[in-house]
Amino acid sequence: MARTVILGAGIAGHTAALHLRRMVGKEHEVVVVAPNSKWNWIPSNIWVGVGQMTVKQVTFPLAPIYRRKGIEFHQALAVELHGEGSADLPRPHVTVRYTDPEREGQVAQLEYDYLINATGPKLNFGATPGLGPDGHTWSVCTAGHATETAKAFEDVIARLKGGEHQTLLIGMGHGTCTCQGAAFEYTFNVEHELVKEGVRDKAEIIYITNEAQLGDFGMDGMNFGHKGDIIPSQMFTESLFQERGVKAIMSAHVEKVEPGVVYYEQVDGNKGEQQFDFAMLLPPFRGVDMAAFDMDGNDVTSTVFAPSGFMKVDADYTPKPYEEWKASDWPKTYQSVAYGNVWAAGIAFAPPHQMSRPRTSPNGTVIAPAPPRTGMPSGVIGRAVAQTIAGRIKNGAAGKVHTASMADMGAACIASAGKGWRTGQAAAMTVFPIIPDKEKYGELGRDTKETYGEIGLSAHWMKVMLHYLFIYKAKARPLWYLIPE
Amino acid sequence: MSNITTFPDARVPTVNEVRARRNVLIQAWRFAILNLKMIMMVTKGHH
Ligand SMILES: Cc1cc2nc3c(=O)[nH]c(=O)nc-3n(C[C@H](O)[C@H](O)[C@H](O)COP(=O)(O)OP(=O)(O)OC[C@H]3O[C@@H](n4cnc5c(N)ncnc54)[C@H](O)[C@@H]3O)c2cc1C
Repeated sequence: MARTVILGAGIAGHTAALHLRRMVGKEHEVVVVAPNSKWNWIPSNIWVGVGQMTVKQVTFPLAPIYRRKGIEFHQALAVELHGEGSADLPRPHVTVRYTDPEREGQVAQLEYDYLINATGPKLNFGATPGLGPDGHTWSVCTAGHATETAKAFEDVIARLKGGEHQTLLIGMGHGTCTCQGAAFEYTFNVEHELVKEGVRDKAEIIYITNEAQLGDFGMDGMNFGHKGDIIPSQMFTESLFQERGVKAIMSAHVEKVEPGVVYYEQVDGNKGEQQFDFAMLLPPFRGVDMAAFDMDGNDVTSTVFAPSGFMKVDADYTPKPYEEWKASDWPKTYQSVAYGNVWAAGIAFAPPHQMSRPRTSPNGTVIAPAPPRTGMPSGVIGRAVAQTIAGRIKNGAAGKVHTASMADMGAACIASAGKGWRTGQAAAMTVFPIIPDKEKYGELGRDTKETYGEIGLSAHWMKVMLHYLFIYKAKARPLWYLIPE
Repeated sequence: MSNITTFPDARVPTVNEVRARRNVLIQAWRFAILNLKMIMMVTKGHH
């Protein structure tokens, strides 16, 4: 009998749990630990944030699904990793602190044979003073945040209807943020709603970003193949900004936020401030606060986790200049550097380096978009790790090791630019591979036949379809496993 | 001080392009194509 503990029930952890449960017999235990009682389809939070969807439409309770599937669920936070066991409990285990109302604050030790760390990001609002819902800006990172944001947005619309002018600032709340795609989507959904409400002319929308160019998306941009031509994502994105009258503050690190004003520094050292009436700024991500200890109780956190808090896996973390970065630096199996029976899936693994060229201002401020790890790779990695563990459980050390390198994998991203069956718009983008590989694909680093972008109503329909499809899959309804990640 | 950028040189879509982006029939066709592209991408990305 083997016991696999999965930390996190987001895209990576939940995918891994469902697949593993399907792949191994009932005599083997699959255990999920997550602090939230509900699963959230995060990509649709942007629609919650403009009042076009409710929390109920983007979340559902996890416990009934896990009960039906025979997965043990602990609503708790993992706080310590004891990968070698400890003096009082020699088997490898994690220490968890319960968050469910009945056991809130209680601590337990959960033993494992195999462990998947799929804890995603810590939303690091603390990196920028005044950032976030506890400060002076809104967020759409969780369904709860998005609901609050929608209320504030409703107030903005009311003020615009009352004849006031409003400045809306949307984007990145720090120089090292990732997830530009989500901020892009929120920007254009806001713009779309303002047009629908007939108040667009009174509102100024400003996108603030750490990207050097629009369309960088933290992945050094993309080059879309189109009828024999190459269209850089910069051109594609600038066109949309111009068409929809959205301005931008580029290459910016937000230093602090005070009520109604952000202070920022740009990569050329210029300092600026921008007044706003409404701001939705994403936080930078770091790994969740989990400490690691060896058998004797010594703190080995810095061996197991990178300084960013993400778990170190089979990547090449040797520091080297941008020009020497290689696709092969990226991990393939996601096995921990410290333990042979621990893996990190989704956002939880430490990337070897950025994809966009990191920049530093003359004052030494790092303005470097972190590499995006979107839903599709997170799900694919979750499944690959589950397959590797299933192989180990069935065949021991001879079990097949499954790989899912982002340098070998494509991704599809549908970025909404407004909701509505007839009036909706979205940008559909595919990219292959996610990590540019100049050795294989030449200077552009990607296959321009497979890297593609298109804007239209059809992409909006696609985004809606994916919303229902992935919620169906996450609910483990009949034949869910036929739906790819 | 403000450092706001606009994109006056960006190519904006023509009236016909905007119409095509909204035309239900054209978009139904594009939807089918997009689905195919996504399926191909997903198949390539799964090992
Ligand atoms: C607003 C927004 C919009 C987005 N839109 C898109 C999109 O359109 N397309 C796309 O592909 N991607 C999108 N993304 C990115 C996508 O959401 C992530 O790639 C994906 O959620 C990553 O999956 P994950 O499982 O690694 O992390 P998550 O989905 O964040 O899951 C992490 C899990 O770990 C749990 N957890 C946290 N700490 C602990 C702990 N200490 N112990 C145990 N469990 C813990 C969390 O509660 C959660 O269950 C968007 C992201 C945001 C924020």
